[in-house]
Amino acid sequence: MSDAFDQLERQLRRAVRAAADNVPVRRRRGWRRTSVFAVAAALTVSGGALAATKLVGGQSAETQGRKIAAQAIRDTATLPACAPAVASQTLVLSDSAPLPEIRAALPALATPAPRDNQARALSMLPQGGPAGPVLRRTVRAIPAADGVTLVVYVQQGFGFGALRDPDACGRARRERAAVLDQDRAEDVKRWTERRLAEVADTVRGLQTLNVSVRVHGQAGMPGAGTPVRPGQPLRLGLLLSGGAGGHRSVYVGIAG
Amino acid sequence: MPGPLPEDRDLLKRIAAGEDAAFSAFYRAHLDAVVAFFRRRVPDAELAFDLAAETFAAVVISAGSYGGDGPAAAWLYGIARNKLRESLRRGRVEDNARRRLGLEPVVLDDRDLERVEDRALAGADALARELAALPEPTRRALLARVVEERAYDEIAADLDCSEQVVRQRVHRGLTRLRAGLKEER
Repeated sequence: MSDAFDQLERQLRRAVRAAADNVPVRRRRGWRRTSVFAVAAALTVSGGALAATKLVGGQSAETQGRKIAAQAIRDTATLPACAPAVASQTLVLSDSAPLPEIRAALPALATPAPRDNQARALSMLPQGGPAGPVLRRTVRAIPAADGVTLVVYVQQGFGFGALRDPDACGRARRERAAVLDQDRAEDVKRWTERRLAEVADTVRGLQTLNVSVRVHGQAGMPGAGTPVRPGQPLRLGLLLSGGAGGHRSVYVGIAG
Repeated sequence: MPGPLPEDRDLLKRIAAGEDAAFSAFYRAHLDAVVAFFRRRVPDAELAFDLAAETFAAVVISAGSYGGDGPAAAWLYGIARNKLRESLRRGRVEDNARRRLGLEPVVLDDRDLERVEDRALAGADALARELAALPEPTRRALLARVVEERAYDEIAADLDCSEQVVRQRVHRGLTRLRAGLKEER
């Protein structure tokens, strides 16, 4: 019986033939926009051209709820509140404390680093400043071996990819979802609601742990932002990995 | 007795020339491993499928740009790594390749999600077994090149051999992996 992999294979085979025949393809908008977060967190799927009525029969309530949530997110994506926040050109520092969940995993972040270390780390933050206030006491540069330095900071909110008005966007998504699942069973509605509540970019009080890698003072590899939700522990393990210049690989994680 | 397996680089040339059967051969040979690669790194099966789909769409688009100057598997995993890195950076899986090809959205049901998990397990188990079966020098060279993305000269210095020997070991290792994974099916 044909499955999604077979379907994908058939589509790609057609595309190979079309390319050879030079047949122009009709570009589809919004094929599928799956949101990804750097740590295992809830994901939503944006269904592209899918409508709730095209959901495949026989799906579990959870799957249906996830797809409706994804549809609601896609349908509200063009609202001003749900548009990407413009990254500030000025770095904003906050004296707020990191979440207890962050302090539990990384106790050192509760205490400010020495001033010269903070200043050095601040000078290495992304140009134009990250979106959202940076918690001053968490900023630090951590030297590692072979000229590698980790630049660590926590910021309020979702960081890169943050929305202009997360509260308003969250409300809009829930309203849209209520329209989409109005004829659905109660358990589907619960899964829709739960899924939307899990989407990091609208979680109230969320903070983002950011780590980037410098090699001999220069940018080494892109950083990773890990959203941390109030009440949910920061997951231990690998945060990011990759080449860091000079053909070396770097693996950064949080040890238990 | 089956004939020799077509080399990946030959398949990619044929894909670039519009031979869809060559694409199927390449896709089926590497699908489980690519799905396993993503499933280990992302939280759920749907995301792993999405990333794998985008990766193979990128293969269709860029098969012609593979110059054959390194193992095709390394080229494929380079695409996969880039897709993952870009997606994490942007906060969403990119769909540029699929949109460029005009692909229809694929809807996954519960059975499909199970199949993603099955393929990921199959890819991981089979790969681990086949890797373990490789001679030590071959395995070291292969992992250093394909997984750690290290340059040949650097690997040669580490392994205390010439670059040519490293290239041979990587090539031999990939050939044996492909043959072994194909037999497992």
